[in-house]
Amino acid sequence: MVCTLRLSDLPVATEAEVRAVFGHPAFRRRMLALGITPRSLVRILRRMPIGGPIEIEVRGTCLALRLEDAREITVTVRREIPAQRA
Amino acid sequence: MRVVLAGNPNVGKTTLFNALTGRRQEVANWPGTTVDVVTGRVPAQGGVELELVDLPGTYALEAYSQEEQVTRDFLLHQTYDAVIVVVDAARLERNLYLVLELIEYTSKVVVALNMMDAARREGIAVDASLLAERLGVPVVPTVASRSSGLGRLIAASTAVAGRTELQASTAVTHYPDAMRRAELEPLTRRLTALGAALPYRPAWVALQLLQGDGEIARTVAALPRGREVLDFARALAAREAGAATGGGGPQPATGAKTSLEERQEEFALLLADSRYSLIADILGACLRRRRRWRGDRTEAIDRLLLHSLWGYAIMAGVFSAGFWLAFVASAPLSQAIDRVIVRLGKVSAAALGAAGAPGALRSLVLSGIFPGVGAVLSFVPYMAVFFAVYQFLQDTGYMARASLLVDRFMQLIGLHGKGFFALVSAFGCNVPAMAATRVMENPRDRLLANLVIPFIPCNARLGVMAVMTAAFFPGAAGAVAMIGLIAVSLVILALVASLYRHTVLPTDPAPLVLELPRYHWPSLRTVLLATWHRVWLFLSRIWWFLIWATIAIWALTYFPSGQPLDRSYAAMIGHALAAGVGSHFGFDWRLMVAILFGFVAKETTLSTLGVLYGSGAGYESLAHALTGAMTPLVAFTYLVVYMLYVPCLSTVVQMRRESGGWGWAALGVAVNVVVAFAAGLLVERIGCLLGFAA
Repeated sequence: MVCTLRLSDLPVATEAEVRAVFGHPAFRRRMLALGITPRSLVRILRRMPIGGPIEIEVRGTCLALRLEDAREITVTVRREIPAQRA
Repeated sequence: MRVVLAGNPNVGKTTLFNALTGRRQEVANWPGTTVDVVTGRVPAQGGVELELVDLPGTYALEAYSQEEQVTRDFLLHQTYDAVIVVVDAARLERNLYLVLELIEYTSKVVVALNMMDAARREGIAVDASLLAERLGVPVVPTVASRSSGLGRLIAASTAVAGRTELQASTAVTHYPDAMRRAELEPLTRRLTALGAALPYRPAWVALQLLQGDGEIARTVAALPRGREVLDFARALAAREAGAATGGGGPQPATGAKTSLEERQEEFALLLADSRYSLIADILGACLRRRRRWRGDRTEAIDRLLLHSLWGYAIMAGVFSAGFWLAFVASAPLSQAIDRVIVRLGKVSAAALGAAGAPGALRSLVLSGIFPGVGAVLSFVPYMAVFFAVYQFLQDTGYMARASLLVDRFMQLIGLHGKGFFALVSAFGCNVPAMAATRVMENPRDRLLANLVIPFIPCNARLGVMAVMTAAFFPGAAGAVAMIGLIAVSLVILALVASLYRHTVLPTDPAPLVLELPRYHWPSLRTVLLATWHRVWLFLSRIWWFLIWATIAIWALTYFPSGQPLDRSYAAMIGHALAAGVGSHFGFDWRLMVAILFGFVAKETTLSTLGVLYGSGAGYESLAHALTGAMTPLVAFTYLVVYMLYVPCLSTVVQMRRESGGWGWAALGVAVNVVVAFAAGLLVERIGCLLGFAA
């Protein structure tokens, strides 16, 4: 089953495919340059406490994004979402 | 021959630059910015000396930060003979994006395939010759930290510099056929027809126009017949936009603009997608992964350093150690320099006296010039150790982690995690703290940090505060007073930051993106060279101001000639200030003079007070003189004002530099003074109401 959700809601360590990037044009262009393009694979490595930024792995590099910015990125997961989804 | 070094951040570009140039380097500020660009010379090889320029790291030719804008401006508007793009062999997928962008722009590209050793450790093997064949530009494997591959890199750059720009295009990215036929090719033909007036490759300009690059559009519009071509480009995009929304009919005026922008966004997406598809294809052929680099060293370290509990504990430890080194361990060195200068001053004054020089001249040398020089030089150890620690934490990759840990908390005052180290280090010294705000790529964030940093009491102010609180509030009350003062400064910092955010410096829409580089042990040379550049830039800017200010203060206390100190011009100014301002707070003329002179260097405040109260700077006698002269409430009020008012001269000069103009520095100083006296008044009134007046 394919399921679309925001990157900010993706469970840690689950691989997902980027669908689209929204938000400010400068942000979208920067995401493109950093390799967050449609169909690229992303994975959340960890979340900082109390709603802090998330660390993601994309195209072999590690990036940190704020949660509110990660909400602007939608991703699809090819499997069943695990039950512990936050 | 001029060669520029470009590349993503954290790919070892500066290490490579240092390995190539050694100590033959010069650092200069890029006009109109706070960005430093380092240039160096590579010794003659085969007769030509190379001038090498180390451009700030960038992820793409399209600029996001001020550093990246400098890189873009340099690449677009300066002349050079070759571009070396440094890439991290272990992070090729993302790194090759900039390479593809640059080979569309110019044919004079050489790729330095750096960090080959790290890639090998991660089980990654790259076929450099196949990569060179696919990219159509030379690819030279290097290990900058061990100076390997440098000779071949220089040889390749020299060869590329010999090419003429008109030679066949090096662009290799294959854009979708439909887009090429419908937009790229017709637009490129029109641009080619503009002839030699067009300063860039027509095909590259076509790509930029379709993506809606404002700067390139203006360049084209300024050419003869350029406007026609620009209209043609817009029509192409708009037509497609009309088709895309399904309506062949006329678009409403406001909707048309949105559609054009949307279409340009679509182009940008398509271009990025085509580039990354090509990269995937190239890497499929050139890159061999011997094992999955799961459980690698960096991830293992991060599990500890970014832990929700241990991560913060370790960060506190790391920063404490750093500040101890910078502000405690370096203190004896500072004092030694100070002692030497004072002794030299005495010797010179004595020599002048023996030679029969007039008293004024002797006094000028003893109390004007030498203390001025001393004030400049005693900064050097602080600055040097601080910048070395800073550079070390930055180069290892730890600073990015610390920023990540504290980002959530920094958001409370409208800043992000990258500003944390700067704010904390301001407790040591405001001046390098301001330099440390440069890690923030957003100019507004940086400006905000610079404007609020002076509210944080530095080492020198904390010293004065400690002495006075100990004198007036013996025992545990002293600690309470001290904590109270620091709490006041933090509350005021948060209030002022939010005031700036809601008035002149609204949050920029461009959000925080932080790369977490692989951990890496920096080379001593890289750290020392960066430290040297920073210290040198600081000193070259500050010495002039400090020496003149010290001489001015000497003149104010010395003249009118032959009068005692309490009849000097300084005392007159003090009386005027005490009558106008000080009387509301209970400050006498001596306290006002100490505030005024503290502007030059806060370290001198205790000795100024000692001289003014006729007690000498010794703790016992000064404490006695002060407690006899004012009530604890006046003293506490004085400390609040003293802690918050105008930062010292060095800070103001640094603020001007970091904010890019006297305007912001003047605003910052004005806000400081107003807030300091307002807070002082508030404290005094509350104290009176609570009955502390006696």
